[in-house]
Amino acid sequence: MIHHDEIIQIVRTIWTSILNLPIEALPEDSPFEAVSGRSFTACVQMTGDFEGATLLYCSSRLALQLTSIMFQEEPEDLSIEDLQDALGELTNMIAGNIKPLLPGQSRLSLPSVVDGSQYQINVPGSRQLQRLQFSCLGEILGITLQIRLTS
Amino acid sequence: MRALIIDDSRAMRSILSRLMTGLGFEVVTASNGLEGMERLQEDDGIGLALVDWNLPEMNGLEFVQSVRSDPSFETIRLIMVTTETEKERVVAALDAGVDEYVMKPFTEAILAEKLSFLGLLPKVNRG
Repeated sequence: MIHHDEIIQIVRTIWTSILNLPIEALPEDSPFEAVSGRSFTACVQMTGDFEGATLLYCSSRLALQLTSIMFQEEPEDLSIEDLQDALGELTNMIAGNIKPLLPGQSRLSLPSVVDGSQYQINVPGSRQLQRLQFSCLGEILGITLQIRLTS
Repeated sequence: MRALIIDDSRAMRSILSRLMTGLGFEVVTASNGLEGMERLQEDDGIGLALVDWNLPEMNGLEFVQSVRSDPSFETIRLIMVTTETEKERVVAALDAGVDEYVMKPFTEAILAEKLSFLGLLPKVNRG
């Protein structure tokens, strides 16, 4: 349906164009690395011929650095809303560029973002279609594509 | 010329504002289509609007349709800046009256090229 490498290319293009920042994909068989401490997860849902969601997660340290680049402001001047906004927009761009590679016509939701130190995100009735991990500024950034299970 | 940037993401408004200011435009911003219409009505110096598609309140396509249905905004140039990359969406936006379509993510060079194509910048040297 959609290949691992296609998502890597989408993420690299966004990081280069918008952030002017290198990002390295970890090998496909890398063990899952959980983000320790406070983290952020952004989600954009897809509805239509493809039902699912794109999720992005990273540590609060990386979220702060990415947001600082997007806003061109010092980290200490940024609010939690700024971090949520920046991660939501990055996820929106990733989902928007994945969408044409999926079958049929789908629409994107507005992004939603959660943050905290001990939480679990579930998209009920779905399974993981792709899971990718990247290294950016010495931190792990994860992206998953979920697909709704048909009954 | 003054450019109106309409995007619900403050991060994207910040990025577009920096790029447009660097290209010599004055910038005003709005976070949805309705706010964008208000800016247009109160500021007749706006000659260009860059509008996202997916917006709360009034989406980008509705904003374009609203602008194009009002003869007093006849000269305003409209650029859709969006993650909606499918051909059908591009066609729908062009049918509604946008002058150019920029897909996110974009670079300064892409934006400058589109503005140049509309005659709003000196020709971009493609080297």
